[in-house]
Amino acid sequence: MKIDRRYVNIIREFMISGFKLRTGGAVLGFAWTLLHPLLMLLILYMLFSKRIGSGIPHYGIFLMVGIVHWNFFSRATANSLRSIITRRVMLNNVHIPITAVVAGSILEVFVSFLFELFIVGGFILFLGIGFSKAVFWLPFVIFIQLLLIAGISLVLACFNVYFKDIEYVWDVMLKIGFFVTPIFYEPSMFVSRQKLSLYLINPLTRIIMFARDILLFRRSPDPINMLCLFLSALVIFLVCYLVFKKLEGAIIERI
Amino acid sequence: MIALRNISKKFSLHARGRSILFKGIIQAVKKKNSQKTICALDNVTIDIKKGEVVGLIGTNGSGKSTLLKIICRMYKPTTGAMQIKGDVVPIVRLGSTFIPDLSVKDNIFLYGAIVGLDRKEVRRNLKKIIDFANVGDFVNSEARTLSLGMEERLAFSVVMQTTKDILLFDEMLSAGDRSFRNKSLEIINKFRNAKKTIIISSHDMETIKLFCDRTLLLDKGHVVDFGDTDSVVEKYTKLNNNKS
Repeated sequence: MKIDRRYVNIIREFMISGFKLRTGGAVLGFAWTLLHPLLMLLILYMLFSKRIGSGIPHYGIFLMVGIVHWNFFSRATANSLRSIITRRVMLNNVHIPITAVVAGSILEVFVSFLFELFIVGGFILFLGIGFSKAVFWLPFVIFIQLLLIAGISLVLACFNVYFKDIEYVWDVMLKIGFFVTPIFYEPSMFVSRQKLSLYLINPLTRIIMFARDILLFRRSPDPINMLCLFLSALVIFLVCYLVFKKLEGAIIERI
Repeated sequence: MIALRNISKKFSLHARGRSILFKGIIQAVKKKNSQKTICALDNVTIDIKKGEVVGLIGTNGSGKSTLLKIICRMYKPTTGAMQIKGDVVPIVRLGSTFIPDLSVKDNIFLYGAIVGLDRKEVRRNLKKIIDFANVGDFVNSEARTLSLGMEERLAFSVVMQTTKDILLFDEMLSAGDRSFRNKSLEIINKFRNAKKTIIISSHDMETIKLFCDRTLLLDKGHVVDFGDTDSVVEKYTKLNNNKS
């Protein structure tokens, strides 16, 4: 398969420029981006460590893994949602593949996510939890999350060109998603056994649960469950991609 | 070589701009307003030879930018066929693609990637790009500190490094000063000698007369004339005088 060099270069430059814009290209700016998840961790830990977290070992790490994966999803999709509209002047004068604009926006957040994940890894080592062989499953979990984000982001970025209020709709959905995804609780605490299969339809729930299994509980995910998760993310991606392809042709004419 | 055969482009009026989600869904269901269209280009047939510098003139709304965007593959023509031999630089208008909050240097790398250069090539030519555009004092400043003319110069300076065969310029050098115009003329002559095809759209007849071998005159999406630059420019001037 021949890789289009220009396409890859554009994605990389969008990723670098987006990251620099967010951090101001300085260490202090980057530190500010880490402050948000840290504050979130602190608040959730203070609120829930006694009640919800009391039966969960290393509740701080439990929270961290949930927050880092949730933030990656919410920030990447929100960032991509605005990616076409914020570059409308550029896209009106230059032929750039829309997918490259969206991919650049996702990867820009992905870089921050990797840094945050390294910090989580540092805490895991510091607290003496350590890593098992299960950690080799983590790249697969991250890949599945990227696939899910890519599909949803393509459709959101496209819809945002058509509908000006999609940003508010997605914001509300993310707020709901924060509570229906097990970021600060174990699903078994609030979801009955009968409703668990319905609850697990949300692929992000499984992604966070698998990441915790790997990083915190040092156990490998069930390969069949992992395959199911991959297939569900793939189906979501393909459906979203088809919707995107249907709308893509008219994007430049609309912006 | 560029061959356009019966190219037409229609835009749906309601398909422009953003709607409210609920209203948009209702409109889509009712298919309201879907009949209202404007014809930006109507049956355009032209041939441009390799190595030619072609001017594109016409009043506002005559279809110049739409034609360039079709050649650049940003727009799909509604009807007609297009054959292009060679790589097109994917930029229609110079300069307006810079990100104002990003440094000038980072914008050069981004712009380089857009025109098809990789980081190594941009880094190798960075001094040349900066010197030609005469923006040495601004390299580490935000791009918002550049004037319109500087932006255009810098963009042109990056585009100069490309090895692609077809270059498109919408409103080229509209903000450039005389010395930059002279430098650009030299570059365009170099491009011409290198057998690159160039299409320049402009309202400035001096620029068109200075650069172009042949010129295409468009009016309301129709081809009025395509031929020798001097005679087409004269026709355009007469057309304008009659209208006013």
